[in-house]
Amino acid sequence: MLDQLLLGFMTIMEPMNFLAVFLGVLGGMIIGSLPGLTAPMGCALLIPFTYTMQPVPAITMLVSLYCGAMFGGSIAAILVHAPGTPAAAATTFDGYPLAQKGQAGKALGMACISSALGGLFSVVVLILLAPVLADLAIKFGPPEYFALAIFGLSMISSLGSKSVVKNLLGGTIGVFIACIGMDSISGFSRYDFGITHLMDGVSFIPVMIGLFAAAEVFRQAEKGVRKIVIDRKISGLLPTWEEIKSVKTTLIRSSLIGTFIGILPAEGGTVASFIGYNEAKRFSKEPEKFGTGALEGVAAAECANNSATGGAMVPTMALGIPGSGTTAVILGALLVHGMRPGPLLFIQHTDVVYAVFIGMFFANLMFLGLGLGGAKVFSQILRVPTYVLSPIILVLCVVGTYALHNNMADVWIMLICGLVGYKMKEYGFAAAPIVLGLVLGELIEISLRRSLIVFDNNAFIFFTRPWALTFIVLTVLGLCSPAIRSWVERRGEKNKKQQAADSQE
Amino acid sequence: MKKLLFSVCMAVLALGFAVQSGVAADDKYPSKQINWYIHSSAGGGTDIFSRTAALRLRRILKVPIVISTMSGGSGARMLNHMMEQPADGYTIVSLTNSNLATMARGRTTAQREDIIGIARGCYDPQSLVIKADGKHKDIQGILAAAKEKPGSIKIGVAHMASIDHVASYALGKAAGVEFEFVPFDGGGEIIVALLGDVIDMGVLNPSEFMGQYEAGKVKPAVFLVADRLEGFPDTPTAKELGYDVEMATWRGVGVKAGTPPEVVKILRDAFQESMSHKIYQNYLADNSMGPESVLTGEEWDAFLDQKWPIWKETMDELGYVEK
Repeated sequence: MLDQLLLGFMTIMEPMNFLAVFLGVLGGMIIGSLPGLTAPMGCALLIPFTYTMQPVPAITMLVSLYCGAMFGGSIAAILVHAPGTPAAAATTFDGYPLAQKGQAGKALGMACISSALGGLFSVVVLILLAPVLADLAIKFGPPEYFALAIFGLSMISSLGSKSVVKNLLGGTIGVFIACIGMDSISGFSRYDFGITHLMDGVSFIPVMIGLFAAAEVFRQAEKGVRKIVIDRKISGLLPTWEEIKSVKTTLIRSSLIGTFIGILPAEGGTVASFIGYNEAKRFSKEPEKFGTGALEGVAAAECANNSATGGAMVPTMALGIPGSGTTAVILGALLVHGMRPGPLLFIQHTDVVYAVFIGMFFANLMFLGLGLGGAKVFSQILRVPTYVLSPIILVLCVVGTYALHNNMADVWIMLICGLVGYKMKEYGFAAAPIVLGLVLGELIEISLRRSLIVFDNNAFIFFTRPWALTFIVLTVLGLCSPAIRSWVERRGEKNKKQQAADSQE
Repeated sequence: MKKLLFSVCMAVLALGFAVQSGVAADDKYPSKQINWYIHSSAGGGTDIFSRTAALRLRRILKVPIVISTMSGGSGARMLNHMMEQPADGYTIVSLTNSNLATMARGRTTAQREDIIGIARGCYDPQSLVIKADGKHKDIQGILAAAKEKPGSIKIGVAHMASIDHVASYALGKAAGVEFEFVPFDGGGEIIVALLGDVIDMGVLNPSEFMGQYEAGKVKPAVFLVADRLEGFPDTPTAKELGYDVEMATWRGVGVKAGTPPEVVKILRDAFQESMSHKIYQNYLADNSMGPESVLTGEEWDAFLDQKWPIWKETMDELGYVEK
């Protein structure tokens, strides 16, 4: 395998291939940083241009765009509170508060470093374990997906606003929105009120753009023309070595989570970043700091979503099963270039496969350089006054939402969600639980009902399959952890008092 | 910003075309831009088919051909839009099984008689695929098991009320057995479920299972066609087993009924020429489809006529017709 990697390295070093990596990353960062323009969209737009290219630069460019866009999403998330890509939604939680505190540069630097480290880790995993890890995807049946999704949903209680009840309500609303449209199990439409547009359901990107970006524009407009944005100074572009060291365990945890979730078919960076973020919060010594501008939160989310890139490539290449929307497009590109993804890809097209792996590795290094070097350039967006920036963001919201399916209905959904999100915040509801409910709601429903069909309505199946049980146990532990923690603390205090009392005697 | 600029340019261009098309004199077809609508998303199978077919078509017809997505209600929005356009051959639509299903379910104003077939470009036979080393050895074994214990055989299909669902339902009906259907989001998920022993059998096209078949992990148990496929000489067909079931994933093109016959002829000839070109033939070969996929003119219309009642009837039987 070493000589194949070396050969791949030589291939990528050819000027044209190297240029493909560079252009892919740069294009990805631009697309990723614009809210509404997502990585799958960028890849789909790029494919026609790769028809005439050789397979190596063509696929490498797409994969580089994927990596670049995954990081690029954090730029808008941190600077304007609008996730540039869905996967950057969790980055807004701490990234934007940091920017408000005048530490946008530091947040960007941390996002860049943790994205690159997560990405590099996942590529190493991809290279080393592609065939081995791909087997895991097959072990994941509907019950495992259900348990995983429930585990994901359990974090709603601790996400967003301080009120657990309001978070749960938000999550329920999200799950309800996920019910609109085609019921995949019966094939009938639900809650569509006879409107053709709603028959396909509400896709979560318009909802997200509305709740996060448009709502923010409306809030800014309410404040009137003020100098808040201009006043923000960008200082401390790079996180210090101590700061990086302090998030070491978070980075390792998020890399593992992201890569693992990326490998699962049908789940990608979005779920990875939410779980990565929540686990960081759960394990943190200061969980109350999360959501108010913790560098650790940015690191956890960004590291997880970028490590999902390498993970998602594992089943795409090894099984021909895309692990995310973008890899679905990349899979199409592989077919266009005459390579059928599957177990045989590694035998028939070894040269291309390893060149793409090495290219992906370089893409992660490349955006590290571009991100850190260009952070100042990207931060310029902060110097633009609100009355210029807000209309631009709103236009991008509309264009980006429309470009999804060329469907005006999505734009209306986005605008409605924008208004709802704007009012909602006044009453103390956060957007994140709604989005999470929407993202996971469909998976929860379909995997539950699929499990019941497959296992003849046996509900115990979720407790008898090892992987499913693991996630159920984790969910229960997660839900009980605040209670357990306070019990342990109380016990500790009691013991201390006891000791104090003992020593006094 | 680049994207925004691009979008603005496209909008201006589109506006230009719109104005131009309003004043163009329609003496000779085609004299202006042709709008081609697809109902599914960019990058999907129908999108790739349409774009590949349009490559040569532009040179042959010498007019701009713009392919755009009009998603919503599995083609309902696209078909409704077509019904609102004049029958002049400047609006063409891609047709798939999903569109027939949508029409049969009564979710659009369009019905079979509102469409004239121009050409078929894809014909990917449906097959029922089993695990290579699974507990079921062949299709006879599966049918016997299903007969013995109704509902015990779980079949993975991509969405309900889809070609997968209808195809496997039709085979079950012909064989007098009942299957349990498990809907998935696509062929990839079905293969994983099959390999993971979640389902007994999956409805897949050769282009979907080739990778895993070549690796020896899955094998087709039966093809829902009349004659054995060249690439699969050992796999029986439904017809051989005595079941008159022929189902495939196909994609084609149509225009609104009422389009002048001379315009229909020009379009049919142009598609015939475009799809005979090696660019299109290579696309078919890359996707494990044969040159017989291409069907133009009346043959394609007859094909639609033959499929339409099957969809009507099955959708009704399965209770999917909205009344």
